[in-house]
Amino acid sequence: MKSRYWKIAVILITLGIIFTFAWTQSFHSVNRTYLTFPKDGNGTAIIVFSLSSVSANGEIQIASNNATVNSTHVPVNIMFENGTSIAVGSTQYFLEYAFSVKFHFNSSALFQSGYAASGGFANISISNTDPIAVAMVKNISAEFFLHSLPGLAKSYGQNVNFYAIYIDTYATVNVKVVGGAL
Amino acid sequence: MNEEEAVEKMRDLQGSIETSMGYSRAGSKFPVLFMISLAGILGSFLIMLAVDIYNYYAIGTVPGQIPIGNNTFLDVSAVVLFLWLLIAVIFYLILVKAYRSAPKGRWNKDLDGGLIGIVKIIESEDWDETLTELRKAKVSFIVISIMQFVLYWALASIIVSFVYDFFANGIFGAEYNSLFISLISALIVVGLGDRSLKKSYRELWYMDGLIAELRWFYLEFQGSEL
Repeated sequence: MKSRYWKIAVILITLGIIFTFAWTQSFHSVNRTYLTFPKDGNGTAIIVFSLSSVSANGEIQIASNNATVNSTHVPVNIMFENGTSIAVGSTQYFLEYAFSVKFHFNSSALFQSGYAASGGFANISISNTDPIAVAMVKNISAEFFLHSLPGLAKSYGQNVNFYAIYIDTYATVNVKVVGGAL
Repeated sequence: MNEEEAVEKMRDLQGSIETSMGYSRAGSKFPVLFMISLAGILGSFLIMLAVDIYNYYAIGTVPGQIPIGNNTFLDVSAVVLFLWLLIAVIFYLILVKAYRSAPKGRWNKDLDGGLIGIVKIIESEDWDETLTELRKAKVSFIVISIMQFVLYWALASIIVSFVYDFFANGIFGAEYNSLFISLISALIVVGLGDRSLKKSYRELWYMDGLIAELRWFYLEFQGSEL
């Protein structure tokens, strides 16, 4: 007959195993690289989605891909959600990231019931088992990025957070997002 | 059977019982091994979780990977594997220590006295207890054999994985097939362990025989008027 303390220890360790296993399962990540280019005067939006049940840390690194117009390097023009923009000069080496922006999604409601969405303008799929998605929306104007894109992104549901930047020139963009129940 | 032969038979019996007692003692450590296994599973998940949380704050690319240099990553499974190799060594040390703790040569002094010593042993030995310990030893032996097989299987799987990666993946670009690797590894362990498998089977068979003989001997002893 095992002692009471032994049984308590077995139960506690088993609960610990279940808890830590479930927690490790909540972690997801995305690591993608996109090439952007201007078309018909328009640019490209990079948009990151995350279920609000997940806390996510992300970074978007941008490098000029040394494109030239009339033998002059084209700077990377980056526009943020609030309308501010920045021009980043080209780097000496290809894929040397000249600029990076970090973002964070707070988990607003941990362990709430799941929300799933797929398709739409960016053709993304997001669900409890795959709570982070990144998409590139090509050939859109800065006006569309600032005024229409947030509305479309919100159409994925209240349980979905998103962050977007707009690039109107040639660039290599690396998007890294890591999320989990934190 | 003369006195010398009787003493020799008793020495054989002593050896067999001592070996079985070793397994029985090792078996008494199973609850400790069980607790270590549970702690090992918890430890593995805690390591995975720590790496995941680190990746979250460092915005590492893939959860479960530990950055060890410029664009070089170590998979957390390698650390977990090392932990389990350490646990396997701890298991081995605990089991061997328990196995060796079984008393040896308890009857030697009495057996030096010849037939009188044999009668003394028969009278003083708690045969009921001995039979119970032998039954425990049999179960322990089976569990230890399974653990040994699993350990060899795991080690073979690691080696086969590297070989498979080098040949099948490196040359033909075949994808990692865990089922195939597990089956091949099990076959290798059975194939290479053929002799020890036969030895284990014989030992188990011998233990069965020893229990049956001792039971018969015990019943006879109870019915006799020594």
